[in-house]
Amino acid sequence: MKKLTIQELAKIREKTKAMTILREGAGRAKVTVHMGTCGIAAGARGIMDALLAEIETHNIQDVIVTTSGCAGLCNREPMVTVEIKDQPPVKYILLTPEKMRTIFREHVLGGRVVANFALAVGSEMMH
Amino acid sequence: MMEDLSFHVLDLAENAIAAGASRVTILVNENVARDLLTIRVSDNGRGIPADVRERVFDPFFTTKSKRTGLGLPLLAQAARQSGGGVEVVTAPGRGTRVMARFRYEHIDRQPLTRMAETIMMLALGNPEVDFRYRHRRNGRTFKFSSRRVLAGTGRRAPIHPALIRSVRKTLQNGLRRIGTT
Repeated sequence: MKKLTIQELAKIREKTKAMTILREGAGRAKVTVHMGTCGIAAGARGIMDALLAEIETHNIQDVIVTTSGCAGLCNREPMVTVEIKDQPPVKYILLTPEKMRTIFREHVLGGRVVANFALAVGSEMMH
Repeated sequence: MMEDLSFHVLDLAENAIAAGASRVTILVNENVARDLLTIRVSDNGRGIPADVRERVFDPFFTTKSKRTGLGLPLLAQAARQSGGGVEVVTAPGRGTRVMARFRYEHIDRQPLTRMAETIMMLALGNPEVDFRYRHRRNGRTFKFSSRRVLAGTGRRAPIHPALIRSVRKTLQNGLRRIGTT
């Protein structure tokens, strides 16, 4: 059997990652709010509150919401990660409730990445 | 910084989740007559070994390579500045219990505020964990169990807007009934 190269493994990993959401639930998107001590102190609770309020307001029934710990970028908190099926995850940084609402409407509902608020898309730095 | 005490509750509960807890009990007791506010967060997580336990109040200490490790030192500071203190009881395999006391009327006591949002966030963000929340204020008690409300909701399942509304209402109304928020 032919040996797999690192590049090939990375490709498989990305592909599986994108498929995981599809397989595990009926969600159109998964939004993860970072809730480490740093995230909480920077205002993650207000971000989560804004996110839940958006789901209520728009009566959206297929978005998965979850929380995670510190991602190691404490000075960029509050942060969320948005995963849409078949697309690489996008991390958003230095959020406010208003930015969260924009991201929800544009990216989660509309499928368009809000590049201005993003740390990175895939592995390419945007700014 | 953590400008109100409910942030500390959120932080302690997140620590419990990180320690693998499936059940987190949150007790808040506002006893105005005795000038005492107590917050207790206990979990059935993996507990803390003795050598680590000795250092949990050291702001420069953390067990996680990328985490801040500031949570308990900040809580201890908030408690001390309002004439109280913090106690941590833990052992490997026996969970962790953190008790914080504050003088209720102390001028430097941070306000509690936003407990409803805090518990809602924990419950909806971690449906696989059972949060048991009891809030007493001057003898009146409000109880909430997330397992009862969220029965059947999985971590990977989409969240229903009606569920968000119902959890929000339950918590807000319950706390209002005992005269707190």
